[in-house]
Amino acid sequence: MEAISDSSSPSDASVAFAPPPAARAVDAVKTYGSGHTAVVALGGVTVDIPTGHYTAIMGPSGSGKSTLMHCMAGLDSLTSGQVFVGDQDLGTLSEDQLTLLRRDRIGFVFQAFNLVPTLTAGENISLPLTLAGRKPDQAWLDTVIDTTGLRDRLSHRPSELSGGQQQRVAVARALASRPAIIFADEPTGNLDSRSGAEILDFMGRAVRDMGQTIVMVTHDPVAASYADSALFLADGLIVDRMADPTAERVLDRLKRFGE
Amino acid sequence: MLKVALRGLWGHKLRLIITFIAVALGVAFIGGVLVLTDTMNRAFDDLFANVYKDTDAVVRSDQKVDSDFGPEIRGNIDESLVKTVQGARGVSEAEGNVGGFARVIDRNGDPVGNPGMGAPTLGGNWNEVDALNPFNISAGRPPSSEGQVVIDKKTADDTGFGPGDKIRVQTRDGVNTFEVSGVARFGTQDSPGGASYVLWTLPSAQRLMGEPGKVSTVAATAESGVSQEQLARNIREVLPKGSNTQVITGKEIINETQDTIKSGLRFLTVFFLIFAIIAVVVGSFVIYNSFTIIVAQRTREMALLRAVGARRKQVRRAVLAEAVIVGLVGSAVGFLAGLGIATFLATLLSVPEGALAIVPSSLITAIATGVIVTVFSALLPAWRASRVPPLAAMREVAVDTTGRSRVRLTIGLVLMVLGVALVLVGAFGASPAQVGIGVALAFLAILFLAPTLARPVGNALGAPVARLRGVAGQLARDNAARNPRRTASTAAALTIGVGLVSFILIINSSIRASFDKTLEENFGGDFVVDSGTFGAVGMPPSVARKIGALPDVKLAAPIRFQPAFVNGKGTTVTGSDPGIFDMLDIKLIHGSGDLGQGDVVVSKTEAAAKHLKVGDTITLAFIDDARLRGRPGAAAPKARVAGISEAGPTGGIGNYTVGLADFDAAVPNPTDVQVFVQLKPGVTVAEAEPTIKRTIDEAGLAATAKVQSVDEYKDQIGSQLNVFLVIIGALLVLALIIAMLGIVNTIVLSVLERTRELGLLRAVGMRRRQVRAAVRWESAIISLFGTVLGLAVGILGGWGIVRALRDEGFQVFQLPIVFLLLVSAAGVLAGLFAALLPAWAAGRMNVLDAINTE
Repeated sequence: MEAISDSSSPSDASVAFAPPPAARAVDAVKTYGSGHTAVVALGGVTVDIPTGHYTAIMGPSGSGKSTLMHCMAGLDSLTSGQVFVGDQDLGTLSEDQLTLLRRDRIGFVFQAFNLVPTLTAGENISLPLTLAGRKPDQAWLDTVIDTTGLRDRLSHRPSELSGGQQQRVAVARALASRPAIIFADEPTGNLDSRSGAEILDFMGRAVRDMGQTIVMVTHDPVAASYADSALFLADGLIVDRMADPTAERVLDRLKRFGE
Repeated sequence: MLKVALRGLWGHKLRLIITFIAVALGVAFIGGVLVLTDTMNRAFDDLFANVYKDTDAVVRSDQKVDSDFGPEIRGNIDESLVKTVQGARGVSEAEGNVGGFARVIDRNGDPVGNPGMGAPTLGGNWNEVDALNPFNISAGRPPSSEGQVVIDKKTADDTGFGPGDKIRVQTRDGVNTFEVSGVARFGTQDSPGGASYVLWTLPSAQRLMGEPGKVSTVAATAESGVSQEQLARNIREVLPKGSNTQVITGKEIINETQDTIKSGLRFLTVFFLIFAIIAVVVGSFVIYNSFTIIVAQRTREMALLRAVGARRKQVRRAVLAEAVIVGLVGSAVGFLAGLGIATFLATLLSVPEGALAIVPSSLITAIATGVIVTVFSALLPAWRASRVPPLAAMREVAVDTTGRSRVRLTIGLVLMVLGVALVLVGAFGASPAQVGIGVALAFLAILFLAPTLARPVGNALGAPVARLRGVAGQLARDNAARNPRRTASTAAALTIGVGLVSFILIINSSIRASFDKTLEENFGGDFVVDSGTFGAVGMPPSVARKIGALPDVKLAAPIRFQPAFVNGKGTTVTGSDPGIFDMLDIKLIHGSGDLGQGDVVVSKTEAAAKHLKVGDTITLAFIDDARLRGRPGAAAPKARVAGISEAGPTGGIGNYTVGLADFDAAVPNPTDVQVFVQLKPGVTVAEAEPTIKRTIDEAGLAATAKVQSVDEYKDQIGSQLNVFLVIIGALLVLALIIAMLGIVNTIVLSVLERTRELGLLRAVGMRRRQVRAAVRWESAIISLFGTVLGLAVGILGGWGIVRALRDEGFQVFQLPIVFLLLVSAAGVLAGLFAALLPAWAAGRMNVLDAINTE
């Protein structure tokens, strides 16, 4: 399988000025189980996640898109191959070092249960910093909070916020530590379309206005249309890539998986 | 991270309330016992410091025998020494003291006080020297003649006797009537530590409790400017050589008395501490379970924390921080509750009044115990919490259904085999210690095996419920077996309680059965006349003589005891009739039991310990031996080991037994603790009873002595053992309450966890009643599981101990089936009761809300 990447192609004129990739996978293989019952989740994926870029990972259920994200984010380990965040090879890190990497250089947004229910919105946002025992950069934190539009709800508990608001707090938390890369796993999966659009828009602004790097796993073509590019996975392999995706083109592409 | 922990704690405060109560309950008991001990120690310290406040020196006999139960026993000294002491330099005043057993008979003819169970009933002489008299008259006047007595105010208040009243008092001399001349208080107390006191003039006290011309101690006060040490030295100088006396200072007598009381109270402390420790151990299971469930329910939260960068250490510490806080707050509240327990027990035990003594070390011990137990119980849950993979944040939380871990199963089986093997080895090798260790191992094994057993045993126990209660019963059974580890640890608390209780019940019933059997098969007598004085003093020997002379009676064999020195070592020697061996079926292994002059029969165990065999000569001198009177420095009388006896089915009659003639020659005022009576052939118990009772009545002992047929004697021993049952009852209630807390905890949390499921069941048509029934029966099945395991361990241990002690009088192993069934029923009821509230809450659940719960 030929590697498909945006920034490593020598034909791309911008390559000379592009920063190194925020994360990359090299021949990543992940299998579950062993023997004849083994399930191949990733069949050898090589991919670069460009810095300052909004990347969507698409694919049908069981295509390996979540596994790819989990492995690149240091939540799960590979069977073989390598993943890098920046130039750090995750395979060489201990459990504790991985934790620190997640804490300091990676942000997460999940589909559901994104917030610690007993902490207020504000406390949830600064949680990674609290865990690290670091003093938050107040100016940056203010910027993030203002972008969420939730300044007046900071003292509320998650249960007192709507689903969309909760998800915005989650994105703000991911941004708070200025991570090298943010991974979002179906961030709009549990939201109605209006709240979903708000979140996607918010993440888009984080990339464009704040220079963040975001990788989003989704099966929703509309969500993917907010990204700068879309990768398509099927059966544990990257099968296609699309720049500036629109909902229609993504939908068309997804339909072809069924054939 | 501390903030996260604190918030987590606050957010789950309701879930932790049971943990909190479990901690508080354990600490309340520990704190209560410690405070009670401190309070008692201080109260008695103050009491005796006050009693001997003005006593500067005490002269007493240097002959003492340490008693197995109660304080040491000393010989008497000559009353003439009072004058000698008065003549010593620096002595201001001196006076002799006599003391002993004395019990007031109330207006209904019943003896006041129960020295077998509570404070002692004592008598003595009224001190003429004010400085040496701890009592002060509150009504009437001191005794001035032979027939007058002063009684303590508590006894006066309890019985209604006052100055001028006639009062009957039981002493060594039988029951006699006196006139109350006055009522006295003991310092500021109505009575010394709840004890009853009767005070006579010195000559009366000597006649009733001591010996004419003898006193037990001489107390002296110093002239001003003379130190206690100086005074003691001066007195020592004037005491004649060979008077067998020693002189100690007032300070020494205070310390000695305080120590005696403290060591007497120690058994009480230990007894209460055992309760407290059981409360803490059972509680620790509740705490462990509670934390395990809370951690399980917060798996996603832990995973989220881990995903966004919390290190394992931080998660672990957050859980432990919660434990520390719950432990601290629970312990603090528990300690306060403990003060209540201490106050209650202090009143119950008639500890002299005064504020509770709160010693810092006790406070710290109680609180530290609570915190350490809580943190310790939370260690494993905290470790588990830290192992939650961050990925768990992204998936549905699976209920932990693992019950079978190969490692756990293996450890459990190995421990079980070892435990049972040790019990067997100990049981057949007559080693109760091995049985004990074996049972402990078996119990540990149960803890390891319980998760594996939970499903099959739970299914089996739940089968009838499932059959009888339809869908609800089936759900109850399945739910009980659903999370085997949780079921197991919830049941564990009950297992300990039920195990302990059934263990004690089995021992108790086996003792009784063994005793009954031996009495039936071996007791050659027909009646036992018991003095009813708990061995303190007995009946005058004339009673046994008169009964023996009755036409229906073949033999009346008395038993009398006296402290003595055998080969110079203090012990107790029994005097009896040679017929006693036959009547009590005490077999003589070697030699004869004729108890001729100079003969002594030694018990098998004592002979083995002292390497004595038939024909050996020993020295045997009683305390204050009359044969040595007036012969200071004479060698102790000798005796010949004539026979070696079995302990006998009733536990024997003592380690050394001599004939009545020898005994009475050496002991001036012998009394009989018991008289065993054998009737002539053909005479029935019913025929003989009236004449024997009449003899007792004529001796004036009707109020205290008991004439019992063998059946009545059996019942009396049985009722003494019933005290055990009361203690067991208390233990059971305590263990059940704490175990119930654990069950409530588990059921509440399980219901919370299954909110959606219950909502679904309700949505598809399950009725409230059915939901409630399902929850209740689930709880009952879990309880029954714990009860059954407890019974298994208890029966194993009970059997092992009884078998191991077969040669010590436990011939019969008897399962108290009825009691064990009652205990099981109590366990199940505890489960049903514990589930009442959670079941009600589950039934009240709003269907829509439940389904929509995240």
